[in-house]
Amino acid sequence: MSIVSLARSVKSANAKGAPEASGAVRVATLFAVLIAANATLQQDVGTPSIRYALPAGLVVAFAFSYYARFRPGFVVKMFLAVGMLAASAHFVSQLGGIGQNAAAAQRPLAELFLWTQLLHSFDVPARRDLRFSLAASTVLIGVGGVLSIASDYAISLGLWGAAAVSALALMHRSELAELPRPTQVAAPPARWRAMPSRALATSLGLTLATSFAVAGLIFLFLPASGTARAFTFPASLPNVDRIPGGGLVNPSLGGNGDGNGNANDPTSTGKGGDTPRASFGYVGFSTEMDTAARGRPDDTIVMKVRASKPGFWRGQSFDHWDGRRWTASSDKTKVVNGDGAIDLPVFEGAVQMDDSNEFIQTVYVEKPGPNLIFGAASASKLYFPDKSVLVLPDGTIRSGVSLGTGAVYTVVSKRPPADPAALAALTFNPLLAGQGLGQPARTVYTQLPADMPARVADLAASVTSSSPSLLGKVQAIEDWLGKNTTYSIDIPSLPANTDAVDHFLFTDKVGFCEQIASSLVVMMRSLGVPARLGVGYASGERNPFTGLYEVKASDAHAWAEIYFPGVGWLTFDPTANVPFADDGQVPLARNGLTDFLASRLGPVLSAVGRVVLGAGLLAGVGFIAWIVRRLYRRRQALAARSWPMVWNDRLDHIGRKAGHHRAAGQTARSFAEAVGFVGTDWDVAFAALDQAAYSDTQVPDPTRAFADELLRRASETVSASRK
Amino acid sequence: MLRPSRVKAPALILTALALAFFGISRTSGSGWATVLVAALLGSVLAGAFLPMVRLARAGISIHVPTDGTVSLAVPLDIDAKSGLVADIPDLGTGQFHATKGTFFTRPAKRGVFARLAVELRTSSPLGMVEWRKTCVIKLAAPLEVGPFPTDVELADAAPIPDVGEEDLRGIRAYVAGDSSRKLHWPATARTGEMMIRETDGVTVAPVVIVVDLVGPEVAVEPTVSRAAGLALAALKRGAAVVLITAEPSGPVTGSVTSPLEVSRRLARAVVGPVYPQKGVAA
Repeated sequence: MSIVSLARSVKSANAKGAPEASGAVRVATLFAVLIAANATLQQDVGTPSIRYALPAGLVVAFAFSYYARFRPGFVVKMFLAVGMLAASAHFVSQLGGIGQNAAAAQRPLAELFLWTQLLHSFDVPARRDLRFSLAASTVLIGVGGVLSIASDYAISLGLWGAAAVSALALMHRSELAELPRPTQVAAPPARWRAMPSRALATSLGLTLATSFAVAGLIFLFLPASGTARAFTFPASLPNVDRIPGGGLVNPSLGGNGDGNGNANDPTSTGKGGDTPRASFGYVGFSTEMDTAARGRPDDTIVMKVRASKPGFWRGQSFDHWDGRRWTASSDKTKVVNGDGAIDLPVFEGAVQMDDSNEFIQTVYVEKPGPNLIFGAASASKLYFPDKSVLVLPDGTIRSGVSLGTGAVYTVVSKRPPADPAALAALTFNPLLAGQGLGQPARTVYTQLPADMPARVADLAASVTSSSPSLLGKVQAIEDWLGKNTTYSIDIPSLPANTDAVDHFLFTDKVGFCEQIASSLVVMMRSLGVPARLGVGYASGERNPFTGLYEVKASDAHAWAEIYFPGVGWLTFDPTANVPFADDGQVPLARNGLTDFLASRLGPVLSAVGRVVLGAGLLAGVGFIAWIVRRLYRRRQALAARSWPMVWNDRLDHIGRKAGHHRAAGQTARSFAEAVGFVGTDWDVAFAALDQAAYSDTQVPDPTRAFADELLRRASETVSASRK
Repeated sequence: MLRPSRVKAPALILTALALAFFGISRTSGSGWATVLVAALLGSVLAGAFLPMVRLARAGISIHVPTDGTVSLAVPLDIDAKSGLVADIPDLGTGQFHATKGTFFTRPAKRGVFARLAVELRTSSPLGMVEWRKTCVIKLAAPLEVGPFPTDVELADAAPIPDVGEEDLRGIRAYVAGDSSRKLHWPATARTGEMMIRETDGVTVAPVVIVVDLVGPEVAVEPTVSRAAGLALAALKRGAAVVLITAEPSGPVTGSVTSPLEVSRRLARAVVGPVYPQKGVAA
């Protein structure tokens, strides 16, 4: 293709189209653009002033575009070009402060796109331009979707879908209207004049319902989001409230005892005070965990996690057990710096791994909680807006700023290559149990209280005696706990001066995660195996629409972390047999859909279920009665109809089968001729029909039978020709 | 037979956007992007197959007059569901939005049409993928489209006998009321009185037009148009016209007395022998 012909093609492609005459097309497109723009603005894109100005600007732009649709538009294009340059300059200036994290460019980019959409809306004279606007609105609604972590985005998406489908349908009608069409012979009766809009509404409703149903089916078979390599690592802090000293704070556990504390106080130590613990506060996110404490957090969503598979979102671990409380033997933190992306050190006992085991999680904080960075074990990199974090020897990460609502960070973890078969094949050697750990660490992770009843260790030894491997011993204890103890969050209080594990194993035999996990850790330690208690959150419920795990306060959890020589620390949850690290992949988008719907709709359904069921039964009975009555009336009406009427209807039916529709006022003879039913036989039939309809004389039965037979044969012929 | 004929721009754009958002959902982890992909693909599939369903159920009813002329408007009474685009190539309608009403077309070609092939298309309701099917509609009575007659100057045309000689019965004296055209000038001159011719009427020699069409179909049309022009001119002058044509059933010789008959005879005319062939029954 020569340059000249290429230039001609480009010029032709950019030629101004004929102005779109349909106001309905413009209104529907405007609605789609408005909804998409609003959905994007809701995701903290742009300044507050833009959030009000942009929708108004879009309306003005569309109105201007309509009134200026016949003008050449050169001046407008110049104005738009200047506007685009200004918007681009604004975007470039915003990029200056985002650092290395590309995810931080998402919102400035979304804002630039909004400005582009607004400016473009001033120059949409033709249908093609409106189509471009509609496509741009699709991108905008997608941008909103990518940024959204809330379920109520479904409302925006649904409204946009309705507006976009309406716009497409109206554009198609407008396209059809440009074709020549038959002239209406006579105006339709007044009562039918509303029919086109009614027909359009019906058609739109059907199209929307079909699209929705097909989309639902497709969704069931689409792969889950976020299962490929991630390119963006969101991280943001709405407020920077620095925590002095680098210690652990948890405002959700109540005041700090100075009389001014509250649940949102970032300096709270979590050790109680005169402000009560928030309903979503968990005692495990403190400097100690007392297993004698009772009461569980409620179902408040505390954070949402974007991850390709479930996992334990680890907050910290405890290594010192005094028979009742868990504490950390060391609070010595190390400051790790980084600009946006912080490379975390490899901790003692961890195994060096390549990037193939990477597991990326983005945490969106919903409620103010501890300054712990939650993430799957073992975190190797952290995307965090603050320039530094504090790490402890066990891999616990604390932020130097409070983590309030709206804080976002991304953790890249590397999971140990745990193969159950390989682990099961490794024979347990007590002398090598802590191989890979230094002596101080071995001592810390095998520590037990001096006054621990001997029967705990005896039980561990007897339960695991028949298991030669370390994994087998862990599983043997898990099995024993599963068979001999019961899970309940409603347990009696712990008597004073009682060993909590001993009391749980031999007296109460009822407990929750803290008692169960503590038992596993203590029993493994009694065998000489390094172990510690991990606390954090269970994965939470996966929202199949947002793709996020919604972590409730009640998902706060404690589990055992057991050291495997040559592998590292592996997580075991004796409370519920949680699979190994690489299991639990979410392959399809629909995974968790039924649970999600049941949890959301279940309470509603149970409340109104009986009413609906009763109403449904009544409606069903009524419907059947209506059908029976209708059939009865039809039968009666058929019986009362004269032979010419029945014959006429049959003729209509056969004609329709042949692809012909009888026009209003068209005679039976004319219609039959149109279908192709001509000849002497038909003349006889029509003569008989006229005689029966308009004459007093009776049509002889043989003639009537002849006419009926003629119809029957015609019906057969039409049916045969259709095949 | 139903078949997709064209994938339109909206379907391509939405599919491209769906693929783009699929990639975004895989790399960003956004569940809503996955939902949007499903919604876009759902719309594309609905937009692709709803027209097929609509077209499979659609029919069209057409009533046409029995006669027409090439290039002159012929009214077609159409009855069809909205959203269909129809084209009747035989009648040169071009694409039109088939709704209920009267559609005027100017037939592009001459002939007798007992059946009409109607090409129906639709991409309704979303204009994404166009489907097409062809219906053959048998007409109640054939539509005979005659040629558009060429204006023929009789002087330039083949010799057409004018009004023939009158048979002179006798001569009589003029009486009041006689037409001056009937004056017999030689007798008037001889007798010195106005004498009037008395005749037995007019005998007219018929105009015989042999429409012998040879060659490809397109090439013969000017000939047929000229034959129509000649026949109409002759009829206008009061001459009897005999047309000799070839029809699908064989050669036909017969007089025509009106423009309608001329149109019909020439509508049926085809390329072929205009005289009975040896060994073939006339």
